[in-house]
This record gives sequence, C-alpha cells and structure tokens, in this order.
Amino acid sequence: MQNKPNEGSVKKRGDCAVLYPGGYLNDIEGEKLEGVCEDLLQKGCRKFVIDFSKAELINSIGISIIIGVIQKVRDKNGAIFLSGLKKVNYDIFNIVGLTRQISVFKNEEEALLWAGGDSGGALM
Amino acid sequence: MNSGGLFSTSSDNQFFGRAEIIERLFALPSEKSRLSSAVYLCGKRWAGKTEILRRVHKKLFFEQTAVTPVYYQFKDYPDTAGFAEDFLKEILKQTLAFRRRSPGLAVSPMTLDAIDRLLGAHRSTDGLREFIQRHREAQKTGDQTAAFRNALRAPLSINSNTNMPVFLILDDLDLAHRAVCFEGRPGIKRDLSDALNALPFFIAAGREKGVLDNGIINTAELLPLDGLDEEVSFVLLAELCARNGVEAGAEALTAASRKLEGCPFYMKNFVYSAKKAVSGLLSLNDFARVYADDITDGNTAQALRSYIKLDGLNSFKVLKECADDSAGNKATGAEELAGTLFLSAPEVKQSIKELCALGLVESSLGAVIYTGGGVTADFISYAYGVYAKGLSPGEARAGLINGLLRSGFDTRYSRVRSKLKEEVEGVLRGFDGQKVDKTLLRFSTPLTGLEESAGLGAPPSSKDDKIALPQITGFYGAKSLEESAAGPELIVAEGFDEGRYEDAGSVVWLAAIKDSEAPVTGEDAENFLRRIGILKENFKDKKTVCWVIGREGFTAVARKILDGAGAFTTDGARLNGLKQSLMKDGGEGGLNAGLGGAVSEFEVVIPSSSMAELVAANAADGIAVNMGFDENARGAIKTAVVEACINAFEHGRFKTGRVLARFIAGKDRLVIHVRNGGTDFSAPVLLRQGASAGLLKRRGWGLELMKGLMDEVRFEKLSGGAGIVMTKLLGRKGDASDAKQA
Repeated sequence: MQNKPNEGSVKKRGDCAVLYPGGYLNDIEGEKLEGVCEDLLQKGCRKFVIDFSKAELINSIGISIIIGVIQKVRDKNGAIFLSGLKKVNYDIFNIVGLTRQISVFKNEEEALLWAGGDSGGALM
Repeated sequence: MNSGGLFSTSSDNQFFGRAEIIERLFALPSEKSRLSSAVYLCGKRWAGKTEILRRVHKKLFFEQTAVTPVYYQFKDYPDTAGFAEDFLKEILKQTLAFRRRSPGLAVSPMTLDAIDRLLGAHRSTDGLREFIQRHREAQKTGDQTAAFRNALRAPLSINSNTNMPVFLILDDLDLAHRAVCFEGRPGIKRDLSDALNALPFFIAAGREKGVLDNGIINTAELLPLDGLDEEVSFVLLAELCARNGVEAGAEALTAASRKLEGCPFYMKNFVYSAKKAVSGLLSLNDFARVYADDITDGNTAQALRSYIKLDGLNSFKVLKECADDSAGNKATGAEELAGTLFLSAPEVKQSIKELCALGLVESSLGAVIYTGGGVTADFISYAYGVYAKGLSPGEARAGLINGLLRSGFDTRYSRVRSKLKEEVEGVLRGFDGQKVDKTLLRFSTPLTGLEESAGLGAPPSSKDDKIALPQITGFYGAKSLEESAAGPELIVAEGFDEGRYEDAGSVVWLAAIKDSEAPVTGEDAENFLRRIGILKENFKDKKTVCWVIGREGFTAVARKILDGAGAFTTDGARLNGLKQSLMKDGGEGGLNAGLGGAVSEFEVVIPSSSMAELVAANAADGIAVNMGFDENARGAIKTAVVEACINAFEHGRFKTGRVLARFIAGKDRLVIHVRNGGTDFSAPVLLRQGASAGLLKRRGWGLELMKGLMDEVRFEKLSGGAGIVMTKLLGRKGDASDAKQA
C-alpha cells in the first residue's frame, strides 16, 4: 500500500496527477493548488484527481478556486475527479452544485481506477 | 467623497457608520406605502447631519430620475424677502441643473436674472419664469409676504406640472424656527409649515425636536441621529490613527471611543492633536493629555469657542451649573439656579433662553436640562476655571487631566463591577411568580456537596422548602431615593405577590449587591441594613423584602446579622443556581426562553486578518464537542463560522476592524452571532450555472454555504455594523451520509 504523500504535494499515477490540498483550503492553499495545476497543464497533463482526504476545512474562496481549476482543466479538454471528501466537505460541494458537475469518489484509488491511471507511481 | 461637482462633502475615508441611514433616506420617495414620507433628522451639532443630507442629494442627483432633488440650507436672513429670493433661486437653479444633468450649475452662485435667462432658453422650463416675475413684482411693491408665499409655492407648482416632483432636502430647519426674519410673524411660520406639509415627501434636519412639536412640520417622522457606537468609534479612531501615522493602543482608543460621544468631528480633531504633538495614543495618560490639548487649545476648542458665544458671565454661570448638575444626573429649576448663583429670576430666564437658542440646554416643565454633551462640558469647565475663577490655564488643564484619569480608571473597572448587578437584574426579571428552593436564598441553609461547587440548584425538595417569588413589574436603582449612597448600589424591585394585583399584594424587594473579591462582612451587613431600613420608609404601605447578594459570599458575622434581620442572602454560586432554576421552571417568561435550559455564553474577538477566522472556528468546535454535536455537525458549524467571519472581514468598513463572534450554548442548540463594524453582510447569492461554460459562477458562495450547513440563518442590522445569527440544533442536519460514488 502506498504511503500518502504530504499535504499540498502532487503524485503522478500513470498519466494522471493526484493533488493533495492541505488541512485548510483557503485562498492561500487554493492558489498554490491552482499554480500546481496550471504548471501540470502546461506540461501536458490532462487527467487530474484532487484528493481531499487531508482537507479538514474548505472555505468559499477555496471552493471558488477549485471551480476555476476545473474550468481550466476542461478548457484544455482534460478530465478531473474529486476524492476523499469528508461528509461536511461533500455537503459543501453539494450545496454549490459541484457534485452534479463532477465525479466524486470515496478515495483516491477508486478515482484513479475510473480515470484509468496506474495504482503505482512516484511523487512529483 | 468626490462630490461630483455638487455640494461639498468629506472624503469617503473620513465618513463612516451612516450608510444605512443614507440608503433609507434615498429610498424615501419610493416608499409609497408609508404613512409619512417625510423625515426629520434630529441630531446634535457635528453629528453629521449636513454630510448625510448632501450625500443623499448626490445619490438622488446621479442615481435616479423619478424625483428632482433640491438641497437647501436655512440661514438667517435680513428679512423675509431675503429668504424668499434665496429659496426661490435654489429651487429654480437646482431644478434646472437636474434637468440639464449639470451638477456644477446646482452649486454656482447665480443671480435671479441669470437664472431667468437660463430658464428662458429651454421650453420645458420656460413656465418657471413666472415665479421670478412674481417675485420682482412683490419686490417693487415691497410686499414681503407675497414674495415669501411665491417662493414657497414654487416646489408645489413644479410637482403639479411635471413627472419629476421636487424632493426637498432641508438642512438646519430649526433655524427657520428661530430666524430673526421670522420673529414675531406667526403667519409666516404657518405658511412655511403649510407648504412643507403639502409636499409628498421631504427630508429635513436640525438640532431641535421642537421643530416637530411646535408645528413647523407635523407630518414628519422623527429620526434621531445618535453618535457612532463605541465599537465603530474604536475602529474609526484606529483607522484615523493609521492614516495619520499616530501610534495607537487599545487603552487610549477605548477611552477616546467612550469620551468622544461617537462624534466624527471630535475624533478627527483628537487624532490631529495627537499628530501635531507627535504623541502616541497608547495609554490612558496619553489619551488624557491629547484630549486636554484638543479641548483647551486645539481644533475642538476653537470650534467650541466660535459656537458658544455668550452675552455675559451670567449665562456662563448658568451653563456651568447646568453642566455640573447633569454630571450628577440632576435636573435643575430656574428658581434653584437663581438661588444658587445669586442671580435674579429675569437674569436666569434670559440666560436660559440664550442657552436654549445655542442648543446647550432644554427647558421643559420647569426643569432645565443640560444637553451639550460631555466634551462641551469639559470645555466649559476649563473655560470657567480660567475666565471666571481666575485659574491659570496650566492649573485648569491639570485639573481636567486629573479628572479624566480618575474617571478613566473608574470606567475600566466599572464594567466588571456592573456584571453582578446585571445578573441580579436578570434574575429579578425572571422571578415571574415562580417558586424556588429556599436554599438558593438563604445562606444559612447550605447546598450539598457537588451542587454547591458547580453552582447548580439543590435537589428537588418538599413544598415547605420553597419560597414563592413575586412577579416583578419594574426595578430601578435606589440612587433617586438616597441623596448620597455610601456603599454599593441597591436595587429597588417592585411587584406583586401570588398574582394578587392589589395593595395587599404589593411587595418591594430591596436588593443590596456586593460585587468584589471580598465576602460581605459584618460591617457591610450593618451598612446594608441601615440603608434598607431608611429606604423602607418610602414603602410604608407595602411589604418589603431585603435581599443581599455577595459574589464571594458572607462572613460568619455577616450571616448571623442578616439572618437575624430576616434578610435573604445569596452568594455567587447560589445566584447561578437561582438563575438556572428559574430557567428550568419558567415558561415564556423564564430566562433565556427558546434556548431550552442551561445556557453558557462565550465571546471571541478576532482581528480582520488572514486565518483569524480559524480562532473563532476552533472555539466553536470546542463548544460543539462539549455540547455533544457529532463530527459532521461540528464540521458544518466550523465551516459556517469561517464563512461568517470571512464575510464580516470583507464587508467590515475598516481594514483594521474587529469581528466579534458570540456563542450561546443552549440545551438543544448552539446559537452563533457574528458581527462586524461595517456595512451589510452581502445579499444572498443566487445559485445559478454559467450558461456557456456549463459550470458554476466562481465567487460569492459564503451565504449559500451558511444557509446550507446551519439550521437557521438570519441577518441583523446593528448600530454601526451588521451581524449574522446562525443556529445549529442538536440532532438535526448532521445526519450521516457517505460521499457518493459517481
């Protein structure tokens, strides 16, 4: 079983990038995530999983940034999935309507299975 | 503010706390359902009335076309014809300016001839020239009344001949009430009153409420303009200090926000004085020095000197005496003033008239009440010392500073001292004819073990151990009954026993409170009983009950004395038990009804800075854990608190502002109040999807999240700010459901 990488880091699984936002997804953390995603998009990555298993708290600014990230990925004809949401964070995504727009999985492995990525891989 | 070429206003960063009033006045013409569409804004000098009216005028000029805004500031005039010409010019000029969308025209000084020419240049305004013609005819014949009535008819005539009726904004209307040109001419005042009352809507402002009482206008709603509240004043002072490079600290700013009456004019002058003296505002001492500088030799002193122009020393003496009486919460009569000051009755009467005209005192039902405010009182005290008593300026200033330091020191602790008094008042309110265990009111009957230490009520007991409390109809401090009270305050609570609303059922509870770190001593007990014994004389035909409350309890000697006198005795722990007992048993009348029982309150104050919201969120989480909320509910509460705080930061008026989060933990719910010192929380955001992208809009989800995560969310408009109140019920909306798979 793979060890979970540190919060805020990225892991490559086949052709899929898995991003791990930190404990409090606010404007600061959100912008870091957005920057990493943009960088990966520029390098040609087109499959993303954002795993929220380490995210305790998400605020509305963080949500806004996630929406922006999703839009950017889709603008580049990419695919993006979410995983590992705690109940309250799932509720938040539900309130803003994201759960109707994007696939949400219980954990990273299930999301990667759907995305067609490998179960192995190294930290970026 | 950029006045946009209209009547000058101060810059936006120096105007605050009045957004709600401005919006309300702006909306007045559209409020057709209201009984009265006229408002009289009443406030002290420098409260900001003119600023508000001019900003409303500006909004009406640029942001709507339903009405024609006309701003008019009353002055004193050489005669009625002078007023008539001035008023007519403004009505016509500003009407023309609005129609031509020319703000500069509204404020240009113009002659009547020039206005006549401009009106003639446009067909739509040509008809208004008849007012100028009638005015000239009245001038030729010397008929001032005709000129006056002609000017007053102008707005009404414009209303009946146009789809953009005139919306008059009248500043200093109370000057019309006292203007020399109107003196002794009741017919003129009546004409003015009739003309204003015939208008569909208008705003007027002044210092005196008498403008309504004396019938100049009798259809307007009175809107008092109070000073900014302490919290907004604090934030504003901090902002002013930051802008002026003055180092500021909480102690000095707190003292200033209490002293300066929420008056922006005083606050600006105060900070300017600090800047001029190159002085920080950190301690109470700093505050006292800078304040003394400002009111003895600074901008505030100059302003007060130019406004308080008294005819002679007599008026000065009367003013000083009234201001001193006001500090002791005493109203004075004219006769008493004459006796105290060795003046004749006509001299006092003349002085009172002069002071009333300046707005420094009010005379009502034979009493003369000082209305000038604390800052003016300090200035008067200083000036009296120097000019009437012959003190040197340094000596008078030192006396002022000493007084400020003493009262500032006292205030620092009085808020703590008043806490027990507030608790007792709350308990008295909750009496409501209920029965409580004797143990809570008799120290000689001890509580058992754990209940005592936890401050909980004693276990249920037999009927005989219960005391029936009265229904309290009202309570007040005993100050009005005691000339000079030696010792802590006594509360007099009047009511009826056992639901018997008759003389035989009347009862008075005399509650003596000792709120200090020391227990009630034998000496205290004797002092209380002595005072209560005298107070009882005021209530000879009523049953009286003596109740002594000591936060830290009683010494054995005190207990013996009070028990022997038949007094009820309650310490801090028992008072808490009494509170909870009343809440448990009380229905609607019980304390904290709706919170379902035992209540704890917590407060967190956070600065408007990054991540500060987590402090409030973690506090909420801790409270929620203790209350028994599950993990999901706690997550929802934390997120909602974060959102409320972020919203408060964003919509707070000042970057250096604070946000207050208050948590009220009830038996079955957690109620959270978050408030800022600024404009409204943002209006609810509609949940909609971007048509082209198929995705959601990016920003503004905070309120949707709060509403989705909490059981109840509502908004409060507060003086000087806005607040949001959220409720989370125990056992609802925290239902578990796992994240779904796609």
